[in-house]
Amino acid sequence: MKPCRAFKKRIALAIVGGDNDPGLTEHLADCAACRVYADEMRAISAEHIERANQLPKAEAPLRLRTGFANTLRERQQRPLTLHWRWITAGAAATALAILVYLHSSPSKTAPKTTTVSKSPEIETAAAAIREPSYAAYHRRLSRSPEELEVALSRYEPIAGPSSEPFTALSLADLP
Amino acid sequence: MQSLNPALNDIGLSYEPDVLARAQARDPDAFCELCRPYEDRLFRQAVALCGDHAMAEDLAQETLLQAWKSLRRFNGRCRLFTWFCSIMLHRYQKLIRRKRTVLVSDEALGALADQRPSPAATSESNDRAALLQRHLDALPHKQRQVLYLRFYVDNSLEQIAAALACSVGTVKSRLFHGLENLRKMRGLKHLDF
Repeated sequence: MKPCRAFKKRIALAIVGGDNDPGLTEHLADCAACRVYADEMRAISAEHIERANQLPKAEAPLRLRTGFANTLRERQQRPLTLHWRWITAGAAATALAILVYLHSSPSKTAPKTTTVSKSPEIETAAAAIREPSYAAYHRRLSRSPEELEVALSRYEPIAGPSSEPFTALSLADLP
Repeated sequence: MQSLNPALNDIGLSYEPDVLARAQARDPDAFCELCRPYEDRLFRQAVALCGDHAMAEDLAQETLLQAWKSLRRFNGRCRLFTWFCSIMLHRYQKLIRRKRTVLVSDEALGALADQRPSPAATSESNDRAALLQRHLDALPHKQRQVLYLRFYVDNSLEQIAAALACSVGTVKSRLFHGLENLRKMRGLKHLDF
């Protein structure tokens, strides 16, 4: 036989919870299943109360008292140390995060370079500084020999016994 | 609300409001003074929960330290001892979790060298107490909290609700479901929980 579903909670709360439920007494008088359920609840309650009363009369050991008091005093004496420890840890974490960010996206964080188109005068000046090369000669192959003469006249001859300065005339020897 | 266990209420656990105020203002001496009347009883509850004096000592100390950290949140709506017990049950829950993890890994070792006394060697009352504790341990944490505070601390449902920061209705519901689970476990008491 199962106890009435509507009364189970009321029975449990009346016996263990201490609820005052006058209607319950009448129901228990009529319903055998609920009486059995109530007896079970009383038994559970009695078992645990008996166990609670039989708890060993242990006294807190002295080291619990002194140890606890010492721990508290230690904590009280060094609140700033703990505080600074957290601040240091936070600063280190922030620095690490910034480093990781910088390394992961160099294009975003690198200093901006402004690209300015060079004027012809600047290009000419830069060309004057550069040493002549085969590439330069090849680039200028389309030019007339006179123009090349003018262009090459701006370069100093390369020093050294084996290196003859290039001239427009030597272009004829080029393959 | 009637008391389930008047024997637990004979201890005059009270504190001076001034001491509480000083402790809440982070005065460690005041907190030690505040805790002193509760230490024995708290330790007893810890022994009952853990069944081991060394572990109970750790649990009691952790409870008091946690209480020190969160003392400002104590609003006086429940008894201070109830508040300590609710903290202790939280810590105990963590302890059980850790213990279960250790037990799983130690199972093989335990099978090789089980040094516990045999069931026949322990007394019947100890067996029954251990069984009741295992039943309580097998309950969901919230149900265990409510049942423990009701049976072992003898708190009213209102005090339990205040200590656990929930409504009386919630406490009633947890109490009922916890009792239902205990009833089912009693029916299966031959099984080892």
